[in-house]
Amino acid sequence: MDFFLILLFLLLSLGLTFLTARGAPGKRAVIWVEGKRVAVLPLDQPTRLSVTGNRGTTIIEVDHKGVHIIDSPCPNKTCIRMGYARRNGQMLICAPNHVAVRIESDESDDVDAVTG
Amino acid sequence: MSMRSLDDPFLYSFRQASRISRLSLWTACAVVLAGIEHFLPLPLPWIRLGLANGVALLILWENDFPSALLVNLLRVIIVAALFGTWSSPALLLSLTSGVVAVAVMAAARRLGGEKIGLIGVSVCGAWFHIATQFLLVDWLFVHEKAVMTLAGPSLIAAVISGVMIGWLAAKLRQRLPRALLLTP
Repeated sequence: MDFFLILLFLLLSLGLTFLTARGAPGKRAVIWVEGKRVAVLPLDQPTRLSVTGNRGTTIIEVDHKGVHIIDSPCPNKTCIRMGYARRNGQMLICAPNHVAVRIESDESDDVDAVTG
Repeated sequence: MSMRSLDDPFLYSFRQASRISRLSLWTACAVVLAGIEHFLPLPLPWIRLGLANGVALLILWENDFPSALLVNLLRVIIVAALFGTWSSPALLLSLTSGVVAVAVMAAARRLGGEKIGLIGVSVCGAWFHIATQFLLVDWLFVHEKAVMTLAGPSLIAAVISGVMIGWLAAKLRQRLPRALLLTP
């Protein structure tokens, strides 16, 4: 009985952790090239954007699933394989081409208060 | 308070005095434990072991719900006076979660009957103690998603500390004389 209670509460807590840790969906994708903020794409409007980085042109697309990189001049194509980003704080990075995409929203990630 | 034999005034007042002295003793013990815990270094600042709640658990196990509730409420008030958290929301949080924890432990004890042990009761109390605090914070003070992000990990910590406190209480119950725990 005790063991099942421990298991039950542990599973409940783990479930809650999993649910809350994923973060809320973001509002917009901010595009950074060479350390500079070059564009802001609202996530609710499907668009396509080409930016020129260190090595060439990276193509970023926003659709109903979020934002993803569809073409890049880099050798590994890691940024393309990263897939979609849509939750607050998530990032897509193409290191060789110095391009980064970060999801933002109006809500802050910071904790307001800690109680005892 | 099993016998209210008013036809024997001496025996009645003796029982009352005995009950009061024992509950005071345990309240004092809970206050000291809360004080020790206040200075205990823990890996994360928002984790509490709940040593004082272990006292409420032992009182509940050996006696009844009113006795445990009384000890726990007195402890919360005295600790608030000692550490100067009177006017802050912390007192409201501590009082509410203290009442909920004892109530849940009493319910678990009654529902579980012979099948539930000290550890099981302790885990129920610890989990609902933390859950109450988070719900209260969410409703009354800061309605922010970031607070709820802490709820999951805190509840996991509550299960762990609940097991530890339950285990400690079980060990103590074996070693302490029954007469010390039982209020007549």
